[in-house]
Amino acid sequence: MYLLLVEDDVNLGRALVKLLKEHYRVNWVRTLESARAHLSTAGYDAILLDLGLPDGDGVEWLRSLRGEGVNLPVLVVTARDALDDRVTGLDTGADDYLVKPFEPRELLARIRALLRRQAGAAGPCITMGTLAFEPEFRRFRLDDEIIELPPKEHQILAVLMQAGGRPVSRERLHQQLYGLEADVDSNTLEVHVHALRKVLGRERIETVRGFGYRLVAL
Amino acid sequence: MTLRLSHLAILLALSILAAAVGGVAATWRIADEAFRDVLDEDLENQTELLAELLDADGVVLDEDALEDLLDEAFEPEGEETLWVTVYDLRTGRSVSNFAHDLPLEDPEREHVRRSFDGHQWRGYQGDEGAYVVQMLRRDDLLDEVREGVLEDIVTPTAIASVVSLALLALFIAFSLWPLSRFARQIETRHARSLEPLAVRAPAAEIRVLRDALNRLMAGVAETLARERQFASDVAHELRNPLTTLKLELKGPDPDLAAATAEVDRLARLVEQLLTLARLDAGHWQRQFAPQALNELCARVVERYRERFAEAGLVLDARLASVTVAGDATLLETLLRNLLENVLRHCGPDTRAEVVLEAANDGARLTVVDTGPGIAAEQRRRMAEGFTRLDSRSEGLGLGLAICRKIADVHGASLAFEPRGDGAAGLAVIVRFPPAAP
Repeated sequence: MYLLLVEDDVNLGRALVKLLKEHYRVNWVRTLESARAHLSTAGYDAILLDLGLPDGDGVEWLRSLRGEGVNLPVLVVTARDALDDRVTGLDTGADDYLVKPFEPRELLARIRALLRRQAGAAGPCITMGTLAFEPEFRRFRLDDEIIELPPKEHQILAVLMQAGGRPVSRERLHQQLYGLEADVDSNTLEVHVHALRKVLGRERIETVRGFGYRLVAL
Repeated sequence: MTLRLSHLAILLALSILAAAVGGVAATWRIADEAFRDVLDEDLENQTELLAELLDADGVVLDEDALEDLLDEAFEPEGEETLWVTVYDLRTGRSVSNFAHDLPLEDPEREHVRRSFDGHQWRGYQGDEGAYVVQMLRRDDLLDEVREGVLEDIVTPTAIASVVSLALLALFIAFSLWPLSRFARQIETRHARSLEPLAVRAPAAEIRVLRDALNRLMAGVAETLARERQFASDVAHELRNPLTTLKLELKGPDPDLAAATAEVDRLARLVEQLLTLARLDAGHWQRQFAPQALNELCARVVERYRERFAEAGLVLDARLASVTVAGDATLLETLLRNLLENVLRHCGPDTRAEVVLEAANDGARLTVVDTGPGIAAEQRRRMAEGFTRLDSRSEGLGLGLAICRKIADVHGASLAFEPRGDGAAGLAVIVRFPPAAP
């Protein structure tokens, strides 16, 4: 899972990254300008958005994002707690609204809920046939048996589950594993997919030629 | 005692009516009396004159001649309204301009009333020697004249009264009703509604009142908006470090250095808020004493020179000898905040200068830098008192709010202007009022 954190406060941003990177891959930007740049180069699963940013208002940016048809889940994280602010935020297209200061657990739970909804599951579990993912416990079940996966394979499978059967590009998976900086030509991705197939069965992960992979419900 | 203008208006209307009626009545009464007196006197004179003429020595008048005379002399314009009878006491006969043989009733009486020819007659009776002359006027003639007179008095009074009442009604419609509507609008308005009042008022005075109220409410709305913005900024400033603290302290490996930094940040914020609260509480002016501003500035600049050098900035000072009435601690805080701003917003190689100038219209303290400057739009918002300047991790807009309050209590103004020489950079100018003579 790949998150874009837009937060201008240095210390808070640092602490948030520390918390989030335990669970997700995170890019942290401090201005709307670099948020725009990041969004155009990487495939994120969700955005965490502070509203009062030095180069503009997060709500306005959100409005323009939704206007461009960007459907990424957006969790607004802000110190603005007035009812009007919250209503405006949600009406503009935020999927959720969290007022500072918040409990770390609550932030994580809300991100999980956002991602679940994005994957089309309202319950605590995302399923693809007999394969199930419980984001809260960060574990997978195959035929109701918990399966243990190394971190990289875990990440790849989580992204594929999140896509819910839609093809996921190799670049996207690569970014998930190594961030934006890594060399995309490296073939370590194939190694991890191969390892995953060994656990799940070959036919569960289908290669989409010239693009990437997709999960098949069995 | 409360006074209702509508009651006053009713009283005014009643008094206009009373004045009209009373005026007409009084004028009528006096005019009637005077008129009657004049007529009576006229009759009396004529009677006396005729009686004396008849009785004069050597005048011998036969009855026919007398009758002709009476007919001709006392029948003005063909109207039989004057009735003259001459009684000869010696013969017991009478001559009159009307054909009648009514006897003389009481020769001694002066004022006489008689009924004749279906009318009431009244007049005067005078005797001279053997003659009694009786001259009577028909009553209805008097009534007619009185009616005419009455009409002449009543008409202009009635017109004047109607005009006065109409003006009064206009006055009520133009002033009292809009005023009541205005009052109702204010009464029924929610305390938090500061929309302009919309009352159509033809009277300029009410428009002035409405406009003044609307200006006041606009001012209050602006102040409220500023306060709300300030509260929201403060909340933002307090919530960010609190969130960081929570994240750090509840995480698996708390970074104590980061947590301590956040606590320091909170402490600074609270300190700044307290300073603001104390500045709001007022009473500073009582402790004001003359301060040598140039010496104070020199001290602060000396302290900051090193910090500027460490950050790669240059700090200069050009200080004329200036004394202002003020509080040394506050003035130092003001300059310190301005210099902190330069440090925070300007990169290395920035040159900053503290300039103190004496002028006829008061002293001027300027902190001017060669930094990135501030866009005109943001300068305007800053001038309007919106505090939020940036969102760096340091406490921010509060410094500006504190500077403005300190300037306020010193009667000084705080302005943000571009550099005078057209180069990039910001000039923050504190204009002190001229020293009291």
